[in-house]
Amino acid sequence: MADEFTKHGPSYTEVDVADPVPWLEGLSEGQLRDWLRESIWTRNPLPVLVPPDSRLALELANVLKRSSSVLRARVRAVISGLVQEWGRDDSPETLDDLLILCGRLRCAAAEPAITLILNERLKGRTDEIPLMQRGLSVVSGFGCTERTVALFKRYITDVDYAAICYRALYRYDSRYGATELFNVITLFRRAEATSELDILIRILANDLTSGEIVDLLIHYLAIGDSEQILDGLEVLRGVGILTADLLLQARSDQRVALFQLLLERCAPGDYRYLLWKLRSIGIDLHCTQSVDGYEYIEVLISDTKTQRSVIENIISTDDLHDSALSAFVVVNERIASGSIMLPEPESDRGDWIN
Amino acid sequence: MTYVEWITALATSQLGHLWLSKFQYDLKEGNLSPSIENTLKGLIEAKVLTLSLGLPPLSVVESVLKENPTLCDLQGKRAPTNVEPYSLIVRVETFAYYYLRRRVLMTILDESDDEVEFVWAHLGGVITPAFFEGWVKTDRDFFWCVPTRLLLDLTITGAPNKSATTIRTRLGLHLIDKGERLIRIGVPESAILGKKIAAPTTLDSGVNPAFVPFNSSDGYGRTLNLKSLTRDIKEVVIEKIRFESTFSAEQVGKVGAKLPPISWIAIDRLVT
Repeated sequence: MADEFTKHGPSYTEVDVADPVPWLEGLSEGQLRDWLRESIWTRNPLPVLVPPDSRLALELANVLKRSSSVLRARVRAVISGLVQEWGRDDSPETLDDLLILCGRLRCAAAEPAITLILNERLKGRTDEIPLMQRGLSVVSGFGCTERTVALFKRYITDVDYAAICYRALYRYDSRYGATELFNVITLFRRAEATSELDILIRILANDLTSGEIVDLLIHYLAIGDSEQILDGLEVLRGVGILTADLLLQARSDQRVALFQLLLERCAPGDYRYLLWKLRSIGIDLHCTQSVDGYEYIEVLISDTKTQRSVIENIISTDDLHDSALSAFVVVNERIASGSIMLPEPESDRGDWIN
Repeated sequence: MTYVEWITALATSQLGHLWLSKFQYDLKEGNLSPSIENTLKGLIEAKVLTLSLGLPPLSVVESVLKENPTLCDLQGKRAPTNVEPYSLIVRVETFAYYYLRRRVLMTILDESDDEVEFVWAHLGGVITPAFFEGWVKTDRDFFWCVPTRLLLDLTITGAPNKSATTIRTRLGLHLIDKGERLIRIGVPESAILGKKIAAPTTLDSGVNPAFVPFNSSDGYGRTLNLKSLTRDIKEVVIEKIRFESTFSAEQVGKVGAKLPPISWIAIDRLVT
């Protein structure tokens, strides 16, 4: 039954409450703006019903996602304007709802307005952190661009935003995955948030292919110092990302590059530690002599789960003379002769380093 | 526009009539203080006077309730005498967006459901209670819940999707359709101590048609069973609580059946 009460605003019927999409499709852009403003600022979105198991922004987004592309385009245009209307005196819930709608409906045109709010209108508010997190995750959802890279670089040094910014940056340019990894690890360790760090790394692994992860590792080894390298590898190993299986899936040239860098960049004093950690995941680096009499550093990678393995020559020991890598040969010989032992699995690195 | 004109307009629509019937039931059965009728009248008169644009009568109800939480929320005169653990049901999307630490979870907010999938896959695994953060609430500053013991009785071991369907139907979650994934949030007794708790009234329900008030002497309200269209499980509303690691959250399952058709007239009969 049509509701005759309304003289000026958009009216609706019970049929519209049951399915509000056709009603929304019939609104002009001005009516749509008024309805959305009313819905978000006063939290009254009728004819859209918000049940107790949901929330306003999610319900609006779900309804609008079911609508035509024309309506969604109109909504995107309207929401950008509404984001600009949000001021410091408006409620945090209003901004949160607007941000969720922007993200769920991909209102990328709202990015400049959101960035402005994040940079200028949230400072000092009690709800600054959750709103910043929401806003950064929305801008990240639009995809980091040349313009927004500065935003993420600005906030990546803050542990409250580091994971969001790190993810936005490495999805934009995988090199950030390597260049920012150690900073992120340090931030979360300092905050004693290792379980959060674990999730961050798992998400990283989820986002990248195995080939991309190996490339990230190669880049990380190329730029990190010895301490950073071991820390980073340990974090990746600890959450089950650096595995024999990962390296078995990599291309041969990636594997060779990775192990060469590992030996070159790791401090000779850390070789024992490195060998032990690698062995724990089915990777064995050792010196070997080939049939033609040349000596090589060889890697044996075996994955017990898939029963797959590979043996590869990483580097000829001829290339090691007069270089730091020759120290590896010495360590290897001492391990082979039994004059030094690899530690027990639970040993602390500090107990036996060098 | 006067209050009487507004009521007349409201009563001409089925959902408006249903809301009025339930409100009258609450007044008649003593679920609400008799004085609330005058209070609401005043609020609605003030609202309709200030409207520069017209607002459908049902929207006036919703606006007035949302704008006056002190006068309208948790006003039920009945309340259970004992304190016990409660549970509420939310969709996985709601849980992902509002109940988790955003520092490392839901770090991308876009149109895809990848982040929600991650939460669903890892809840109870790497997503431990240490990641619980936010407020247990709806869009208003309270939430709906049922005694945990009763909710667990609805769970069918080894059949999560059947459990989800049963829970959806028996808790009256009428906007949850087939395919939606549900999460149960467990609220410990300790979190409820000192919080306002009451049997829900029509004012708490807003304009949600799948609510039916009750006059039980046990102090609980009842959910609406969407299949039988009768009152079913005990329920209460509780003022908002901080969500933290002492709470629990677990997958229920994916709703496996479409919603049964609902006759609002049948619900109207429950209160008239």
